Amino acid sequence: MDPTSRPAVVIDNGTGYTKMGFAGNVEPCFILPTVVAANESFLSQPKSSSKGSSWAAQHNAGVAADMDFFIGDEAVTKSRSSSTYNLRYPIEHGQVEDWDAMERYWQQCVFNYLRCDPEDHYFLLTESPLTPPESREYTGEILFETFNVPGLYIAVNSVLALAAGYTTSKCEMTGVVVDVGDGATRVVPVAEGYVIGSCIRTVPIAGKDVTLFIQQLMRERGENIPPEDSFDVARKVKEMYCYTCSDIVKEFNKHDKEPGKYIKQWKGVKPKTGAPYTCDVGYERFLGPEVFFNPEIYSNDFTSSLPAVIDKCIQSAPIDTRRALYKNIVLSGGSTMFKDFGRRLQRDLKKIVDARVLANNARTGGEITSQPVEVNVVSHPVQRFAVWFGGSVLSSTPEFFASCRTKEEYEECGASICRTNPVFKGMY
Amino acid sequence: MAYLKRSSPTLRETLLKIYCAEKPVEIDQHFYEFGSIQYHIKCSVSDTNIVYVSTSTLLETQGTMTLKEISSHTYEVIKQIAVGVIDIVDPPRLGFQLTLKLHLDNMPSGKEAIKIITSISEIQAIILSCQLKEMLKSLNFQDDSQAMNNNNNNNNNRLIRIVYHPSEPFYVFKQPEKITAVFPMNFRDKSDVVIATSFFQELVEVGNQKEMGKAPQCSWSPVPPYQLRGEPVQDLTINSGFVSFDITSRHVKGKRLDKTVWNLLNFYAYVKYHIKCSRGYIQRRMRKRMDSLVKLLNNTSLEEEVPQKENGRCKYIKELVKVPKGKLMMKHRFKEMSRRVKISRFRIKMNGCARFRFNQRWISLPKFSTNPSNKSYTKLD
Repeated sequence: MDPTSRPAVVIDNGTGYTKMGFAGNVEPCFILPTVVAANESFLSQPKSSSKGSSWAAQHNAGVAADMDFFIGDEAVTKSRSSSTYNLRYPIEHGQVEDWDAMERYWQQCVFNYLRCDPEDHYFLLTESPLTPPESREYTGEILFETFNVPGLYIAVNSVLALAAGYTTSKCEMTGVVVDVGDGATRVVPVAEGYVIGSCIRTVPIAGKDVTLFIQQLMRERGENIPPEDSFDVARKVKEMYCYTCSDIVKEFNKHDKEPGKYIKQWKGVKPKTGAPYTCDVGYERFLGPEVFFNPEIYSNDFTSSLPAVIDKCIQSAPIDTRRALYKNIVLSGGSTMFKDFGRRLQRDLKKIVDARVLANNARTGGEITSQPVEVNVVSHPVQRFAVWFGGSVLSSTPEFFASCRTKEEYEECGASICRTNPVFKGMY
Repeated sequence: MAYLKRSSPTLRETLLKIYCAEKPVEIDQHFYEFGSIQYHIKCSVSDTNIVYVSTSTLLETQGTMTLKEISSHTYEVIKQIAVGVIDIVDPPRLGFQLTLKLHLDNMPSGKEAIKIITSISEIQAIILSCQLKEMLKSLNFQDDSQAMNNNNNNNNNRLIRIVYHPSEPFYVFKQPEKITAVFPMNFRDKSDVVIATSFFQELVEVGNQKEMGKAPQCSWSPVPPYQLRGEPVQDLTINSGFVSFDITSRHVKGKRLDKTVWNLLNFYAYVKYHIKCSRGYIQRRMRKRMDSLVKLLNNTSLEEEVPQKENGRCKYIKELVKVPKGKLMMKHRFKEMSRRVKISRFRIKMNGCARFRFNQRWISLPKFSTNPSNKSYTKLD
């Protein structure tokens, strides 16, 4: 059985979470935080110390400690329980910064979680649009040299997110991907499968900031949450109870009028004493996601709202793509899962666009009118792992295996072939 | 070592997710393990208490590569895992050997459920080991009864060929007092061969130590043992020697039989895992060495104080090396060019042309910003 008859392995490494699984499935097998807890007690020992322990024994101990690491949720629990493990986050702001940790992370992913032999499957990895080509080379080097994979394709995560918005009737490779992840929020326009690099806009507010904001609000109100848990509790509250409102003032009124309907209870257990506690969740429910539309409530440094950023991004794109971009705005990333996020975004964006069109028409005195611009925000149930889903879809097409970089090409030409990965229109 | 656990982590995770979900979830997933094992899980929203789990493997023993029939004994063992929860569906799903129907409402709650789910995830281990267990037990049994009769009848040595993963057979045969399992090791990559051969030799050395007396005796030889003489040639042309383990009767007694069988079946997977980890380790050491050398190179240049105003989070970092080379070069270039432009501007001082002011009106200097985080370039006119 050769590797092309088996489904490819799709791994989407994000700043906060990594999604991994096999191609052809609707959802990933595992969603783990991208964190490595490594045993680093042997790293900094000087080689000259010798108190009866030979160099060979020390070396062996160092080698054994090298294999002693955990990833994901296990890593977080291990680092809390014992102090020999240090947490390392290999990916920051979408880029891999720590290659050692990343290699270990992949090793555990492939062997301990997916439990497959890397020589038997083709691999599809993802990267963010602004990664330097050297980073793709390093990735290719690690996968081909250490894991001996037969073939590799490194895809841009925005193009994959577009593929997640496909329906049977339309498969557009042109659109704007609004990727609101845990570490970074990016607005990426894609035209015909190619990312328009100069128009990418970053918004410094992401899922983690929403969690921090909620934590801050709850602390200000004086809820009795144990401090070491407060970030976790805030995150769970965010995932369970937050929703997007249409108007803050009205929402405040609604909450004040009927507190019983809107205020939810959170029940938790104190970790140290085991005593249960409850706390109220009130305004945070709608103030959390409001950070995206009114960032001034969270920080003074950044004041453009998300719809304004999207609009600016599309306006800086080439003029012939703009209508197509407005028509296909795709959401991806865990922080877009708030209820009604897509509808609020579409409404705000349409307001901005209509205002501009009206101003243009008024300037020409009403003689030249343009067609109304259609704004459409696409949301779908797999937003949380839209990139992974797009990868799974794309790698189950038969053209995928032909577009991968194979091990023979790697041996022939070296790691530089990984710098380019052909865009193939597998869906047409 | 989680790689060789008996229970499959993906299966366990998915079953736990279905079991703990508050709302009904729709799952239809297909996944592979170790290259030749396939699983399929199906759970529909309409029927939330029933989960279908199908599995298959390409186990071959002295035959063609087809889906092997599972013996009824195995069915009994599987049913015993959790009475009332597991039902065997006949015929199994198309393309699979075995389909189980799980009744989630019959499962006891709490920690028991997790234990049951873990044992359900071990079904592949059970199926595979059952075959080998039968064989080992039968060989062992025959040893006692036929030892007297067949002592001089060595030609009729029963050699059994087991294929757990395609193109990786291993052999089991009987010898007086013990059973030997021989693994021909073959690798496509030359560096794999080197790592593997040295690993085997170390394994033999460690295995022959006194403290390891209870473990099965391990030996390595570059030529096949004579019992394998009649086997097809392509199985015997290998590049990394033959590893053999001698299993005595104490290794197949009671509970140890399970572990012995599982270890034998997964020996190839273990060796490959070890080789990949060694390669990863070597790469990491090489990278660390390279980093330390590069640090020395960059140390001779400047000490920078790099203000990094990124997205509202201000950090002033005094870094020796961390400033990526590109930005450093850019800053230098800007400084150089602006210096040169200023010099050339003052040089163009022609007498009599003083009224032509060669300043910003005629030569508009492009604005060089030395702020490296300003990524937009202004057009040069």
